[in-house]
Amino acid sequence: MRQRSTALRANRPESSRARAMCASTIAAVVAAVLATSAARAESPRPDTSAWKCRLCVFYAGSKARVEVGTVYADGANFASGRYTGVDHNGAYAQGSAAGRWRTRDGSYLRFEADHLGFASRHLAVTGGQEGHYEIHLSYQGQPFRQYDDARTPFRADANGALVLPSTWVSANSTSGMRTLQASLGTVPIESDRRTVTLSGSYFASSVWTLFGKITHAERTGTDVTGASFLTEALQLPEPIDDVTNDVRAGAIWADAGASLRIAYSGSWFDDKLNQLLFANPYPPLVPGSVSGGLSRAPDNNLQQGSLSGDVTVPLWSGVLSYLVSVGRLAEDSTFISGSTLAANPLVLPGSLPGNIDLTHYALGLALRPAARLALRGRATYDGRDDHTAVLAVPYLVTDTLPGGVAVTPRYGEDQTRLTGSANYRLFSWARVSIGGNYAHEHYAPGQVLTSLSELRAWGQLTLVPGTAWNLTVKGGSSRRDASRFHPAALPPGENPLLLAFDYAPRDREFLQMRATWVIDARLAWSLQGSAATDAYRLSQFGLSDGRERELTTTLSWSPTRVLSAYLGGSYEHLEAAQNGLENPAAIAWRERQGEYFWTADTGASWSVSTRWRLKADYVHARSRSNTSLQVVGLYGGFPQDATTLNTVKLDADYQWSHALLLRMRYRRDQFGSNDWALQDVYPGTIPELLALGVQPYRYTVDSIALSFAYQL
Amino acid sequence: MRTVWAPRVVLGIVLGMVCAARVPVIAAAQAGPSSAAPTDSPTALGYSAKGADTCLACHGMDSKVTAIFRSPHAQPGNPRSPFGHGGLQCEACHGPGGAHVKAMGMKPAGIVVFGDHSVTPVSRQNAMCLSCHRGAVGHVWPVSAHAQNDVSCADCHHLHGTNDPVRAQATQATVCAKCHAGVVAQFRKPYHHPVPDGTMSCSSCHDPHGSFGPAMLVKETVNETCTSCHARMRGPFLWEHQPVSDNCLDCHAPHGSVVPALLTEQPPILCQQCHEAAGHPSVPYGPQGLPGGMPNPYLLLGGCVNCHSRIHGSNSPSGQALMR
Repeated sequence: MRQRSTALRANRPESSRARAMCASTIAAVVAAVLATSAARAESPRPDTSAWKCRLCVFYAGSKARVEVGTVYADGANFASGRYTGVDHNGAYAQGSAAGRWRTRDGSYLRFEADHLGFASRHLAVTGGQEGHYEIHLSYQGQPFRQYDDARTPFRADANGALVLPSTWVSANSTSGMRTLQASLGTVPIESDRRTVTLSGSYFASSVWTLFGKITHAERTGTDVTGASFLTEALQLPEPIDDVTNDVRAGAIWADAGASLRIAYSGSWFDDKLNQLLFANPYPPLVPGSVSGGLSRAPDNNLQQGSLSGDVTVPLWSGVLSYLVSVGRLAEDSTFISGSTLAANPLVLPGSLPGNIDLTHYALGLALRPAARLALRGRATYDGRDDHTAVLAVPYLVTDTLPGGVAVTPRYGEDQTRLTGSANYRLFSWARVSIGGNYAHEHYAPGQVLTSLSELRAWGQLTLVPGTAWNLTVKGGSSRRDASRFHPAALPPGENPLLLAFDYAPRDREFLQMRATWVIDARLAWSLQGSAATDAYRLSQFGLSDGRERELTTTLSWSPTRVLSAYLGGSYEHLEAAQNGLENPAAIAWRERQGEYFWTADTGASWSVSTRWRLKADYVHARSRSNTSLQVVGLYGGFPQDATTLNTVKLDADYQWSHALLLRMRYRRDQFGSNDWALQDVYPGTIPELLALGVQPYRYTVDSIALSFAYQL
Repeated sequence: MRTVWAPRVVLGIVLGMVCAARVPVIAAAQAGPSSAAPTDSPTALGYSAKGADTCLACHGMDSKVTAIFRSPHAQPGNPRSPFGHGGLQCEACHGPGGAHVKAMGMKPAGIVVFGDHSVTPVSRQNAMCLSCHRGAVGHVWPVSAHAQNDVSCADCHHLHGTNDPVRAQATQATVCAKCHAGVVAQFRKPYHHPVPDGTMSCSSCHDPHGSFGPAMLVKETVNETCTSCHARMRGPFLWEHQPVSDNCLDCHAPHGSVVPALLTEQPPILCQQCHEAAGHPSVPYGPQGLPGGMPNPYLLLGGCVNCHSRIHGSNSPSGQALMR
């Protein structure tokens, strides 16, 4: 521990010096250019005192729309209403409203409310006076419905601990838990995030703007988590109850030649619960191991200050952009007990405390040395410097056995990225671009790598032969190299042959294209595609190769002013292979995954008359995932994972009167999926894992909505 | 470290200012008449004689043009608005229109035209917008990927109306889909962020006006972007999982996935891309471990996460294997 801590400290001065030099260089460059730019003169302005704007029809008054109605859903469940909150059968009241009011002096008020009646409701009010100030207040509900078929024998007691019923019969296997089926109760796995935002801007002068924003987000509900007692595991419903408060404030100065933004942001996360205690449904492996305790995310806070902006430079119509940001992420939550085992008390520190410095420096320069040539370059530095003390902590394994003393790993890294490109306009209809990126990531001591670097080069050709055609083709390659691998830095028990895929030396080739063709005023077609191939050069283990293919097309057709239609589709194919080894002396294996994803969508909109407007949409999306395993000649394919979605939407609007609109909606969503990880895994299916028994998503939902919209 | 760089930044600023003060030649060479007192005749400078009244004499019947009077761009009480006191009205954005008037509107004649079929170079279109909006949104724009690809402000924004679909959460993705159709298609995968459902938008994570972060993210790094909503993941934890502090994208596909939790692969296959053995042998779990065979707790449900549930980090003293 002491050696590692010393090494960390020893590395800091060099890193600090580099950053200090970087910061002072950026500051010097920015200040110089700012001062130079300030001396530049603006172009002459005309005298507009005779411009009376008599024909201008400045708007003042108010306008509002209110919509109320009902939705009836049949077949709804958590899967279908995952993000909308329409999660059960029956009727829902729905409403929305929007309006704006404006006076001649520029005072205004806007409001909007959507999805009223649902957990995804959104309300926003914005008011102010043009050119003087603006205040915005909003509320956003975000439901997240996961599973309504989870069943568990656990119940929360008065202290929030998960306990088993008094009739519970422990057994070493779920099949032996004789009262399991009788003890199961349904627990909804769902959560709601509610976010309130208050923000404002004050336009102090023609060049100064002050801004502030306060956000309060709270999340409540239940999630799924896992836990184990050595070799026996269980799934648990874990309560969610946390709050995140964010504050952002600052000032912007901007004129025609430069801008400057200084900002402070703070974020405080507070988890209302500090641990999750749960009973052991299995017979204790050691005396007293009758319950377990899971830690929660520690309360933390992140505070950052930043200075950013841009300035016109007196060279080739250049613009220099810059950013300096420093911040600290900290936490000092009290540790939970190291074990629920009363017979094995651990002597522990009370809290971490954790401190990580986050530093960002960036410079960007855009130049136009000639009318046809544009040059762009960026240099960024992102540092994550973990100052948290390295601790030697005695621990127990899953509230069961003494595990010894372990040293906490600390992970710090900093990354430098250089990006450059040149665009040259060959003709009015053709442009060629070349560019490259270089990224170098340096890892703090104690990690398996010292550094990782990637060099990427690309070329792009854009053809615009008239207003009807547009074609862009981009291709290139990249090479990623890693420093020597340090197996000694791995946690105990880890295979020294480990090669993390994010570290593995890799060669990538890629090609992208985009084409649009406006055939005439009525017909347009677009096509986008990309392909990439990865080869992991030195990966004896871990990912060995990968491929990505993607194609998307859309055809839009508007034969008349009252009729329009579209037809589209997309295809994606991802493929990856990886090699594995249990340990250096064991048998190697190879796994290959292939994933296909298709979509097809079509629809039409038809204004039948001045009163009737019809709209229809259809979406089909499906995925197929294949996983195969090969072990010295033996081949095993997993069942295919698949999803299929069909959505039909039919809308009809009837303009009852100038102010009143009748809206009718029908929607059918049909979704089916196979997932071998969940399929037919019920609470008692796995002998040594007491599961919640959730099954892959499936639903067929028919919903009908009827609403009246009134224009005030 | 923090006590070292701050004085150097101040020193840098001072040095920079001093250096700049030594190059008055550049400034003098570029200096023109003062803009403090606008006494030049509009027509002498290439502008129309009557400003917006000149333009509306021909374009006043076009509802797309007059829609601007319902937008923040045409607010006489706003000194920052083109129609504010002393503002250049239509010509603030479209440039001097004197020649266009002389040509009886038959030629663009130097007018800046915005939109898909514009003959005005994108760089010039955008320069007009940035002349007012550079402080609020545009300070990284010149070096952004959108600028690199000649995206104009009007490609995404409605410059004349009150309703700008790209600024509304519910409709923003349809605007982005014009160029990023493949990304939008990924949101049709069964597991995705709620962008199609209207409670998030593309700009929740990406800054279309440019940023110094990768992929134009709103924060400087992937992790700072993700943890701005998922703050419980940001730690620092007593026991950390290296990819969590390094890059969320090591394991998650933010636009959409066919695997729960937006994972890039099914566990335990995903975990085995890095971990070959950790405490217990990482055998190649095959289909024999599915229900109907010998149901395997290392393979089914969350795979490794069934036990190592504190995969994002643990603050339990006994959480060294991320199991508490």
